[in-house]
Amino acid sequence: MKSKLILISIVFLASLWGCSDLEDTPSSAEFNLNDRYGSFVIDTIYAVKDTFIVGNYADTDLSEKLSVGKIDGIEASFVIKVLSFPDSTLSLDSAYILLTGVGTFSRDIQNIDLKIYEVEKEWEKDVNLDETWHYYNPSTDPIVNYSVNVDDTTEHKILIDPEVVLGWRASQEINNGLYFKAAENTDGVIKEFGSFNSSTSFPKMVYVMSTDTSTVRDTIDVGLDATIFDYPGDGSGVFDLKSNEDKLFVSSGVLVHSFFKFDFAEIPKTALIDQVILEVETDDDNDLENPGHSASFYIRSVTEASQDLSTYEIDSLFTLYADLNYLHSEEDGKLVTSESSRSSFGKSLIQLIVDGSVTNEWLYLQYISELTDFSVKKFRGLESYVNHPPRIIVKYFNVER
Amino acid sequence: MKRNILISLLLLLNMSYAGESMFGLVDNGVGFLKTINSAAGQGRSYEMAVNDSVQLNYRNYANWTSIPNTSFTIKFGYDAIFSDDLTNDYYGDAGNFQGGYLAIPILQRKLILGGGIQPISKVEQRIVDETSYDFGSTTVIKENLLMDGGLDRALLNLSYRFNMLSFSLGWEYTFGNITESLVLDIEDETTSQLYLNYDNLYSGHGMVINAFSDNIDNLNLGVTIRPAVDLDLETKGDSNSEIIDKTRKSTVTLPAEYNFGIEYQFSNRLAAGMDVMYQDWKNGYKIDGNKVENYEKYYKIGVGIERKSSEKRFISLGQQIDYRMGLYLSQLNITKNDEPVMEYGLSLGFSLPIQRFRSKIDFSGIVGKRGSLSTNGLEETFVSFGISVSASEKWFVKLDK
Repeated sequence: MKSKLILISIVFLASLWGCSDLEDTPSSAEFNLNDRYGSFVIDTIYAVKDTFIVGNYADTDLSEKLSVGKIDGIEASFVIKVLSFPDSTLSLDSAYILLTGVGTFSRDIQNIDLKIYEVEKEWEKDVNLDETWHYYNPSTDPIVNYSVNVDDTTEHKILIDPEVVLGWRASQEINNGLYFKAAENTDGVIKEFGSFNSSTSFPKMVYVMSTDTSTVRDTIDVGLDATIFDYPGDGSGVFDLKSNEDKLFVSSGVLVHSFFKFDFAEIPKTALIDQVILEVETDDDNDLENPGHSASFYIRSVTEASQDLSTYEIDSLFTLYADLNYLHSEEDGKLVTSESSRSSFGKSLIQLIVDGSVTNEWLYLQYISELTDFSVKKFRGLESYVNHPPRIIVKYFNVER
Repeated sequence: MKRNILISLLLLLNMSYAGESMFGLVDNGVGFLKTINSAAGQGRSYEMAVNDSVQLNYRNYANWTSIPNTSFTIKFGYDAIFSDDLTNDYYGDAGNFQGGYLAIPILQRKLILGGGIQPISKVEQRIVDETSYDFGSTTVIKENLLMDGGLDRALLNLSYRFNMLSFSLGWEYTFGNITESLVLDIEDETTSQLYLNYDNLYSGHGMVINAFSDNIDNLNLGVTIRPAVDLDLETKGDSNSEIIDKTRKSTVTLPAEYNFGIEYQFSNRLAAGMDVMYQDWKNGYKIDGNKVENYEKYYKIGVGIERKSSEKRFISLGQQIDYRMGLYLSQLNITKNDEPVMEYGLSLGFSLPIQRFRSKIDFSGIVGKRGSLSTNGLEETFVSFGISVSASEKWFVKLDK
């Protein structure tokens, strides 16, 4: 019995007999890995095709800006209506709209003449998606003509005929608000005002009313507004494909996206991808880039597409989850993948394409924010800059074991 | 109940911790080859031709026919390794379970059924290697490799004694897992990381044939032949690439092993012996039928003496102890810097009875050196300790009431 207890004790103690921590063993010239598992490679693959596509209308419902003007065939106009009025017992002496200027870009134009109409038909906030609102031509004369200094960022006070306002107060059914449009002879300027979505520069309607004893000002900042962007659909204009075969565009307001096709079969199947960097040369001959628009872009993956890109499907993960998109920005005259996105671009997309786990037809480039205002970014395409075509730099570990 | 607790403890014991020999880091290898003796055999540097009625022989299962009762032997070992290359010193240590066997006499001293498990190779080391690449700007890759694992051999054996000659035939199942975990720290304009993990799963059946003779006066002979073994190797990857992760299958051939031993007994209390082991890893170690580079013919020659305890009943403790000493010389199965690696050591050991003629505990120690700075660029000085616990019990014996 005693001997068995001794035996058990010895075995148990010996089982607890452990060891020290595993120390890092620095390599030396005598014991290194000598590329035992593979070697690190940086490779560049070039686009085999590129193009741009003018897309559907943008939904400007949530934009913080209202744009008006004309430039190179692009027309911007906006609608606005207020939803609250003074009590019907109060008489209305005057009324005016306050609009705050938030931005502009122009070609040495000092002033923009606005024509303001009473809107004759109903509209919703997604008015830019309504085909009938494009190249809308009111049948009545403008109720106000107003000239704006393009650089003026103060509040603009635009007087409205009180009878118009009283008519809206009497019958909400005829309250379709006002339509702002640039005069016919306008070209080379886009003026931007704050919209009701803006936190600080939103429009206001001020009513001046008299009572028996005093004059009252009531300010209303509740309403609906939206911008309408027009672009000629006959192939003419700044985005004409035939005259821009060597160029690529990305635009907001008028949706334009660029597409790049790469042959990822050039990357070996044994590649363990670390990072991927897309580089596209920018074209500085461009005065359509809005200085108030952030020059940040997304790259997304197109999983299916028709031959002419008239229909295409973007990987839904990019549209559902904004943080999965790959950020790009301009750096030293090139569009470049942001440092924060290089690893995920490589590991979460290109690696899966190389593995054959996902299908990729094109890479698709857009402004991050493309529904707010008008801005165009121009790039050099495959045909334009043959020595520096659009390219992808792939950093990977080529596994040889 | 206590018996069951003991058996359970034994089965839980396969702990192994950090710091095996750096010579186990050889490419395409199964780790550092371990030719494990019991602590008694380790103390005297020979074991093949030893006849022991209490402790089960770790090298020659044919002389299990010496045991009168159910017997088990279990061994634990500890190694401290001081490594030195041309630039740095390293230290590592490891405590391991080093095998255990259980033998049951079907016919006392005639037919013995037994089995057990024993590690045959081990690797547990980390290397950090740094490489700089010039791709216009400098990219530094730090490779962190952890190799961990080894092979074990499970045995089911039948031993039979014909007068003065014993034979045994054993079925062996070789199995194991060697993990290679590689983490790449990549530093260029950004810092990123890649990981690559391989699990190498080995399995295969083999056999072992042993013979033992104490036919000649005072002279024992022992022979063990282990034919070449084909192991199935399944390599499972874990990385960011589905292609690299695909399971790959191959066949690994371990070369045949030949052992010979001799012991001469000068008297009841003094014996000397020698073991010789040979295994042609240079030509016999293959992967998918192809020889592997950087392997060499393995041999080990051990000589030693033993001062055995007295068999008299009423004696002092000192006369109950076995004393052992030995020397060995070995050529390892790998090359380093294209040169063979030699190992030699001095061994000492003793045993203490727990219950005379029934159970005992053996202690052993080795101090040795392997490799050479001038030829191999790496040398290791090591100290190893072993403890074996052996017991002979009347288990599985039907006792008359």
